Amino acid sequence: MPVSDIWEVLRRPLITEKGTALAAEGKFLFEVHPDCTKAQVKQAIERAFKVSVVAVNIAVMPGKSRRWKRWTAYQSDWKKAVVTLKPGERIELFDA
Amino acid sequence: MKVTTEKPEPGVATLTVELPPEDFTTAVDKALARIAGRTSVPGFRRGKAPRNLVRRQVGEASVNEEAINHLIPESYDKAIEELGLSPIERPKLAIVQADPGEPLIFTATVALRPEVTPGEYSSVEIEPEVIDVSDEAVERVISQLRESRTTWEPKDGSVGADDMIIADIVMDLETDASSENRRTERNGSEIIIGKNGFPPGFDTGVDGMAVGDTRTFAVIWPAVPRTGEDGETEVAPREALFTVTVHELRQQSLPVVDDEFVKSVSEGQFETLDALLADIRARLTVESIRNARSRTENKVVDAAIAGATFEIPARLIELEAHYLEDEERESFSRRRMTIERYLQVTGQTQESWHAQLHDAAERQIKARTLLDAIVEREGLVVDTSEVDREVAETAASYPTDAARVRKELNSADSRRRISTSILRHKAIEKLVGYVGGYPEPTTLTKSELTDGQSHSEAEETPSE
Repeated sequence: MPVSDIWEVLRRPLITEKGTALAAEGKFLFEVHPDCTKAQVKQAIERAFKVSVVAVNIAVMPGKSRRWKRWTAYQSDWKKAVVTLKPGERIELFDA
Repeated sequence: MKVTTEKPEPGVATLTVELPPEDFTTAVDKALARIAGRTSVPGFRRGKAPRNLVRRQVGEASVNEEAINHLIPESYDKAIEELGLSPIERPKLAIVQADPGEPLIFTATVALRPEVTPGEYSSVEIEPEVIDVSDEAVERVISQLRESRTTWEPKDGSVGADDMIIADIVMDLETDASSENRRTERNGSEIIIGKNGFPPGFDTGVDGMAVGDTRTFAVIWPAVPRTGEDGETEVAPREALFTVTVHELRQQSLPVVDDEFVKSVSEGQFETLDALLADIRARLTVESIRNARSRTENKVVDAAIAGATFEIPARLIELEAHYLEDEERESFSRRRMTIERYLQVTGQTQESWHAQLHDAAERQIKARTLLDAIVEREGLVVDTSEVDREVAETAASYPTDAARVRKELNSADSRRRISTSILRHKAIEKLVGYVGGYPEPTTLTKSELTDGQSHSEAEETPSE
């Protein structure tokens, strides 16, 4: 089911070791709604941060397995987006 | 780095250190790097998180604190080195100003190693000690020997001075009006007139009694101070009623000083009185020399101390005084006594005792400091062989576990202590040399001392 509201696309910035390393190259890492598309991510980023997006790469991350006694359960899968901005543009969240 | 020094009291320095803001900034950076290494920020491995994130995680204040905690000791060490001071303790630090972008200012107060400016110790003068063994001293020893071999013989007549009586004694001691008198009975006890624990009136009370007599008389026990649970109290003077029945009367018989006596006291070592007297005189002389030597040493050291100027931190003296106090308490408790009791008996107060300890501590520190300075100035050195000898001698005086003692004394630490004490003693000898050396015995020569031969002056016999 496609995401109807553009404000539901972006979940949180991934300010992690990998995230900050990519930010140095002008690529910004976000967790996004599992059902969204690259186009939606691009639109959401451009609206939220007033920047121009060059490319969006998306990956679906498998949920981790968690064990409780004999049973194994899985966390939900989630979607990760690598957003490449026009050179020189930045998202301040990553500059903390 | 700007450092200013003042001396608020002798032997104590207060440094005021001002560090430029850049130093503080670099210190903060370094602190941040250290903190990053031990802080975990979600999404990062330890030490990999960006500085800003770490700062936000732990808070500005703790970063600054970490920076100051490192910066201050570091710059304190540098300041001490720059000024060439030798502190003896950890400094008391106080932060005057620590704001980012401003100079960091702190003060450090520290006691310094005692300083001394020796005076003209090579020209000090002291009253020379005399080694003199008087005939009276020899006689005293003889009379002690006689007394130790006193025998008691039955005596007719009545009780007189120095006699011994064997008597039954009943003592009714007056107590509080409320309670009953306390009665103490002792039967057949030996009492020497003039040498018993009874109050002064007792001896006159029994004076002139004959065997079989019974006499009753009153004597006043003097007041006795004592410490109870309620502090210092005094047992008031009390009257005691004595009833004494004399069963036997004996008189003292001091042995006659003859060859027999000589043989008996010397356990066969000497045949004649002259030989014994010479021996006693020789022993007394050796002792007198030893005393005179140590008095001489004390005098020169005191004189040298008087001529020198010192800068000693009060805290150091205090510490030493505490140490002396502990030592003294220890020695009293080994004798199953308390210092409080001792002070009471000798009529001293805690304050006067502490003042004494303080003076002793001050003298000791002064002496050490001065002697160390003399060692340095005179270029005195100590040989390893000298330390070895000292170790061997000390170990030899513990025959039961010489090996263990030797091992302990041979530790680097204790060897250092021993060599310090040898050096200090050399300094004392140097001082003694300046005042004309140790006193020499005038009445006996060395050889006479060692072989214990008779001497013309020792030929008088003590009066009977």
